[in-house]
Amino acid sequence: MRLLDGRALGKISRLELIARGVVEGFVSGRHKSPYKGFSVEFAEHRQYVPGDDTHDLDWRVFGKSDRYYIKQFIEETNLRATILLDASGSMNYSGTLAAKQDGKCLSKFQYGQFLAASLAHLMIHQQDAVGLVTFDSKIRRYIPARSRVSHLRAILEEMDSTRAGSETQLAPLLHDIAERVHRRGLVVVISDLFDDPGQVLNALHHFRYRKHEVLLLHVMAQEELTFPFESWSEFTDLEKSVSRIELDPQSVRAAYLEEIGRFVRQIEMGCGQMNVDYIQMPTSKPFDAALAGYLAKRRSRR
Amino acid sequence: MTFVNWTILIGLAAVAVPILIHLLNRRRARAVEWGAMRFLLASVASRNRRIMLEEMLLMILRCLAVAMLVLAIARPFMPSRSSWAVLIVLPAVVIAAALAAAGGVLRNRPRLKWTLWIIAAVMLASGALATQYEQALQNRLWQGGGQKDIAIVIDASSSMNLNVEGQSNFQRALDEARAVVESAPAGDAITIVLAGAVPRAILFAPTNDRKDVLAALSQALPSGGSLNAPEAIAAAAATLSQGRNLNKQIVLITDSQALGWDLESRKSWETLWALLNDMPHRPGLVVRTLKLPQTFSNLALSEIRQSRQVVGTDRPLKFSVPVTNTGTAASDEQNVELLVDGLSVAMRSVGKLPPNGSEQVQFEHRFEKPGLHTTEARLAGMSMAASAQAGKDDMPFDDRVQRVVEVLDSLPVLLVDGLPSPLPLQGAADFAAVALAPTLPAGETALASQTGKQEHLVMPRVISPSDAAQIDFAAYRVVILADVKSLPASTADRLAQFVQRGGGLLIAPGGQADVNFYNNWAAASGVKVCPAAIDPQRAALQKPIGLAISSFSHPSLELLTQSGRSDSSRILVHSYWPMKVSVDEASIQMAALLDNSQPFLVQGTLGLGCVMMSAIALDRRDSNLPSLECFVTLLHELTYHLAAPSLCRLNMQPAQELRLNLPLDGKHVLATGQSLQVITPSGRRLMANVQVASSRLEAGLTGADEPGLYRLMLPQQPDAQQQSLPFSILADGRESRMEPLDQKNIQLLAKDMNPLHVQSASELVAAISGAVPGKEIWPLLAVLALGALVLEIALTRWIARQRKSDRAETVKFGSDEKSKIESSFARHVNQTKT
Repeated sequence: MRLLDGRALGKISRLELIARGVVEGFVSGRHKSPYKGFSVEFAEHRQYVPGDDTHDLDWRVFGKSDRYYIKQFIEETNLRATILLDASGSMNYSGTLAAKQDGKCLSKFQYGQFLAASLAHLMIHQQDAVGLVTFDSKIRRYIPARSRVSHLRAILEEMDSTRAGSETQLAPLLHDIAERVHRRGLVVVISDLFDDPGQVLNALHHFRYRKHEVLLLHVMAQEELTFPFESWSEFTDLEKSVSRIELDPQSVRAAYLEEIGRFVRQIEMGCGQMNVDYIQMPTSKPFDAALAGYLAKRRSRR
Repeated sequence: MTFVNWTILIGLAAVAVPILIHLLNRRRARAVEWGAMRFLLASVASRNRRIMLEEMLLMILRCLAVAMLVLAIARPFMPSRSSWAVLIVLPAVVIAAALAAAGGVLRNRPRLKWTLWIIAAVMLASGALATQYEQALQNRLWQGGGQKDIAIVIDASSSMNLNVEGQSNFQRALDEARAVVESAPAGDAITIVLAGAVPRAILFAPTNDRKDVLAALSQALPSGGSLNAPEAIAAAAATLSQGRNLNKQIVLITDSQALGWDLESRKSWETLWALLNDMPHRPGLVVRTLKLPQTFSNLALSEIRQSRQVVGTDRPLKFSVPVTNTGTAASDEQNVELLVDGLSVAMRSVGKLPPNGSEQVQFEHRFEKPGLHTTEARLAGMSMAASAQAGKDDMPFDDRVQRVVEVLDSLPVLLVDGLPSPLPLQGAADFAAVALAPTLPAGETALASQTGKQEHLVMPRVISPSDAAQIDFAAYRVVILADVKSLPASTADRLAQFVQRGGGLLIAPGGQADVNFYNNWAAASGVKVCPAAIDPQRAALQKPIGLAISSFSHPSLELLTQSGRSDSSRILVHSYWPMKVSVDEASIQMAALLDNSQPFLVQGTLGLGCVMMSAIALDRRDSNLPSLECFVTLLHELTYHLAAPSLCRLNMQPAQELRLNLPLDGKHVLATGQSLQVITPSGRRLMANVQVASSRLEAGLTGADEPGLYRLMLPQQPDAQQQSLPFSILADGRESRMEPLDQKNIQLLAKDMNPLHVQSASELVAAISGAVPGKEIWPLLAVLALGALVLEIALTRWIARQRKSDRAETVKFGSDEKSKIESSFARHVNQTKT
């Protein structure tokens, strides 16, 4: 399976996905859910380090060996995660500064695919339910969340067959999806968000309104952030092929960077305000590291 | 504006090079498929205009640098007499280059681009046309035009002596003439005309021998007097007609004094055009005007006015000398001295005069001896610092003025008495005779005979009409016809001839006058002798009337108009001859009127002489005039006035030919055809020819143009000193005034000739040699090209810096958290491993 990078999964599998807010479904120990978990499978013991919750101490082991051990469980949860993968034309941009896979630069879409696959795998592995929505100008495919292991295969196959294409109207689509996903859960948005930032934030707010936890993975290529072009160039729109512009990149660089900067700041600020987890994912960063980073952050926020 | 290397101008195509480079660069544009198009479009939209402007500016500067460089290499030439072409050529090239550059930079607007390029091409073409036109114009203006005859007319008037910037204008004119002679093409023949009051060619015909011309120039002296431009040009044309070359050219070098250009009437110019048009090849005219000084100081004496023309030894003569400050600054006090026959007789001082201020200086002198006397008035300076003052006057030529006065020993007057009577004072002319020669009291007569002075200047002789047939009128200066009925035809004809030669005639018809005789009396030429026609009906008044003294306009009646000093208001006229005066006759003057507006005294001219006619007779039958004191005054004044034309004209205007009456006193042996020497004021010698004219001997003279005192040397007698006859040539007083001549006036006057008015010596030389004067302006264009280049570099730098300064603001995206994430991740991994 191309989409599941072995090393990456290995790195992720030992981590936990901890949902921060109150999530509907079955939770075990650490969930702040009022429900106590009904199926907790012992996983392993681990030496206590200062800072661990003393509730988890295995006193029987202490009694035997005079050492503090922590009981660790493989938790079973009823987290429902829906991954929203942007398959619009602009996601097709790869550039030369992006991370490489098999010697080729990853396009933003490919990068997003890897992110989504890794997340899906991780979640399924935790017995969380995972769903997938791919969209460009309209919703391409909607796979509702399931927690069966075989469901992962369906999701990965679907993602593998998806090709980024035409233009996006991101905001209305997000609204639409927000309407469709009924049960509260985690919504992971993987997109470059190339739409009007105000409307995008509005749509994200829609998810929050419906009590979804939102994780926004903002994917952007390095070139889009630095605009390093030197010579006279003709820029063709990846979404609308008719739109093209010929210019000396040097002359607009400053203005372009200002535009992009403003856009990024606006998204960042909006996400901060409505408690959306916003992670910037430049494609130059290896996606596994980015994912691990997110999870670490997630844990540290507990 | 023309170009020396005009073929280089093809290089203007190089302006396309920066544009082509720009277009090629654009054609090789790298294709980029781009996702973040909305931000790119947004950033372009706000800056598109500015970017375009910057690009355009850079491109314009580049193209201008190239264009200026090409123009500089083509060596543009700026003729000193450039027309408007330079105003077209340079801007046209600049605008064309700018438009081409702007069009090259324009994107997405092909129609506008091509429009700009077409306009640029049109501008370039118009610039090319303008420079072509200029070239043709300049070539025509400064045509060398093959071999030609050149007449260099040098203004030799007095004002040319004025010092301007350390050199007299005449000297400057000579220098420029020399430069013209030296630079003229070898085949050109040159002649020189010195244009004083009388233009004088100092070479007989145009000559190719430069040495002759230069020698003539080195000997040239200013002749003084005033320039007469049309005459000078005519004289030059006359000299040129003797040359062998077909093309003719006249060069007039003058100062910019307006005098002599005949600005008012312009008649002389019309005659000149007629003359020039008759020439087989009309000559071209080049006028070079030298500058007049901005400031100068000058006091001018322009003339000596005599109170009377007829001067005897019997009474003193009044002189008045006008002193004018024609300089630009106020003058100091000066003395004016009167010299008679070279001896100072009086001195008067003149106060300070403002610029253009003038003052009359009055002198009185009684001549001791009859004959010809010279009078001279001159500025003598102040006695204290005469030498210092003299240095301040920039124009010495008008510091002295000379006149010759003929002092008569007697003035013979012939009275023809139409009613002779043996009784005292009963004849028609008796009162007149007594009035003209009043008997002095006995004592005074004795005194007069002791001092050897003549008792009276006027010597009246009374005859009857019958005696008139045998009288030679030429022995008299004035003839008075007193109540003459009529004259025999032969006598009447001789009398008319007498008047025509300058004699004076006073007609006073009385009661017996034959109206038909007077009204039909005509000279041989058919001109009426009497200035007015007598009405057949004599007017006899019941109530006598007086004279309208306010109507007295004649100069000789001036004394009668002074009411306090004359009893002229008491004149009462009983009867008179009404006279009809033809108004349109310019020579007829109404001298005085009666109270009823009928003419009293009418003056006319006949030939050289004057005829006066009065409405009343000179006896007591018509009026009480003879019994009044003013009768004496009136008769004397009329006699002097009528006698004036018969006097020798000794103070003459400069003209082509002068005629001097020679004395017939028997002392000198004179014969027709004899040559007499004349010494000019500057010491030159001229020859005058003796010729017979109307029973008198005259000395004819040409070429006397210098103003001042001349002397005609009479043949030397073995036993006596050589005697001379003085005469003077008058100067034009306006010569002292530096009224500047407008260039427009020259163009206007000489428009038929299309004169070339040159401004400098180099232009003058160019006008003759055919080389276009002017200077090259490539250094200016090279500097402009360099300037455009430097500006381009500076602008490029500036734009780059503008863009770089923005570059500092990079977008923070993910990177700042990277290290934190990594470290926390590492900790996590470690944690889970254990």
